[in-house]
Amino acid sequence: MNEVLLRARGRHGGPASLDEYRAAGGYAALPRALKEMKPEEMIAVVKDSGLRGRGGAGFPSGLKWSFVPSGDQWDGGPKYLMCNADEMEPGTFKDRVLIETNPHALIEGMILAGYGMGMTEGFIFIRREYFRQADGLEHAIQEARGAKLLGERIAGSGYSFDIHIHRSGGRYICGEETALLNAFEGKRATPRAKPPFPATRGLWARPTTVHNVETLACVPGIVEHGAQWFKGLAANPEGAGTKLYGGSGAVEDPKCVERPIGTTLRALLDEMGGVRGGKKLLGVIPGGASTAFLTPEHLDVPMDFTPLEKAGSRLGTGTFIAFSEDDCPVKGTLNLQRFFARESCGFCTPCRDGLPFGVWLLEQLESGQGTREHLDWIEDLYRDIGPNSFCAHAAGAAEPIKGLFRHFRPILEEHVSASGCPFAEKAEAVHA
Amino acid sequence: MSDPKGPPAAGPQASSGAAGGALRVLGPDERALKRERIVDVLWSLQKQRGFIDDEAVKLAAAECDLTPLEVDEIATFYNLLLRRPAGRTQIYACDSISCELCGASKLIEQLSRVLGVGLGEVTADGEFGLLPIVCLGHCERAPCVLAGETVHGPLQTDRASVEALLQRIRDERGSA
Repeated sequence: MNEVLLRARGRHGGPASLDEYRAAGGYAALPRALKEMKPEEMIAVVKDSGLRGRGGAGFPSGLKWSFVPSGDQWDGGPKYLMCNADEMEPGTFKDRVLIETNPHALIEGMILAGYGMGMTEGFIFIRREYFRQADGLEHAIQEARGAKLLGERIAGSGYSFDIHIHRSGGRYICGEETALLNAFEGKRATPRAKPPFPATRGLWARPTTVHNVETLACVPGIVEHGAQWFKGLAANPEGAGTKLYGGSGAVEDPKCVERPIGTTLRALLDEMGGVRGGKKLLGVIPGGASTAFLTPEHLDVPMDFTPLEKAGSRLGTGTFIAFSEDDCPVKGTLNLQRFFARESCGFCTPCRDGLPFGVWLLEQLESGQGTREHLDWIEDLYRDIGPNSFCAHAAGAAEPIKGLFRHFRPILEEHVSASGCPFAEKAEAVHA
Repeated sequence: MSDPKGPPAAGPQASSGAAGGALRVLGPDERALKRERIVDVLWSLQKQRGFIDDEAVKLAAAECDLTPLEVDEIATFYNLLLRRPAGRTQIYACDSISCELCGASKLIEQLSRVLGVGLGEVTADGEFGLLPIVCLGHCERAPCVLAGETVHGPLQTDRASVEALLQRIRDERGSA
């Protein structure tokens, strides 16, 4: 298929330069859109395109844009665009691949989004671990400024917009949009109460839109080719656009690919050489640590927002983690819960104290100390902490637990009856 | 939690000379950002001093117009900011799910054996600190570690491979 987000690639595997991006059709839409389209027309086309946020929550992007005050609602002061490149969801590496491959797609998307929402400044909030990627973005921003595509009076139009990079210190909660804004402002990165939402009071208490990298990179194509074109890219009728899918864990050839949204897990897994070592598939976590397990019976479900919700999980980031028949889902969930417990910002009690208790309970099962009572406690705990905590962190942690109990209850019970992990010996053999 | 001083002077401001009412965008050097720079300030202090000691907290506080307490809230919050000595080079070993499914535990055990330290400890000669970290976002290269500014992976977990990895990290530091 034709790649859209990754339409330009650099020679020798580096990021595509400005010239390479232009040769692939990049920045074609920008000058025309700034001259011919009104901001409200841009919002309308993004709304019509059906684009949904690629950071995990899947919120309709055009609707998000329409929440930003404009016209009579706007006081005339600054509004900001914030790109969330704080990719830290376990198993997720798609935004890194996009930035490494085609950084100008993000820059063009940010300029267009900024124009649509009447913003004149954008920031890219990137985790510090992405050293080389941030350097590559800095370089691309310089290229765009040099070509008058960024800065004052872009491409001869009356519109001015600039982009700056903020390198963070690495912490998962900074991916939560309001924690991100606090982190950016140099405060401790705890989430803020909502409402007010960032659309009205965000960065420095000004209207702000926070978008994932991939979401913004979808915008140039939509503006250039229109909403119907974007819808037509999808593999399923309710979908829109392409998606950066990743596969890791127990797959033969782990990688990130751009495919029509709604491509099935079976097709993606096949493309990645199937399960490692020719083993059978036990299950997958479809879109990063905070999505629920799916099993081989879900292989033909389209990897898109609505179909995966119907299947009891979520698309999340679209980067799946595969478990083979040799990988214990309880041990894997324990690993996920250690992550969530460690990365809790510590601000509210259900999350700060509940998540370590969940880790302890799962450790009991893995070490052979588990009882039936522990199974009940795990279910109760994760049912309670999500709705009672301040942000979505603990609710995200509850997702893989839900999937574990829904699909792998016999394995959980076996941990109790066999007084330990029935997979222990198999795992020894795999990684010996 | 709102800032009584209001938003700093950042963002677009009407330019006096520009024709057609175009907005002028302030460059990063012109803006009066202070506390927003705290992570960068702490990072460069850490690079100079090896870790963020109490003196560095005070220096950063002065630089960013914060109290030392506010700086410490931030210095202790981020994974890559170190409030204790952690060796000349930190080896951050990913222990999240994709790496775990590809042998991260074995890799960390072997690193620990070869270096003679546990997680969170520094080698006797002060060369390496071995630290756990969450997903590094390089899952197609699992299991992987971050050393200096470079991600290494996919890594083998046998002793010879881990010794070769340490040599690569030393060579890279030498050439940096």
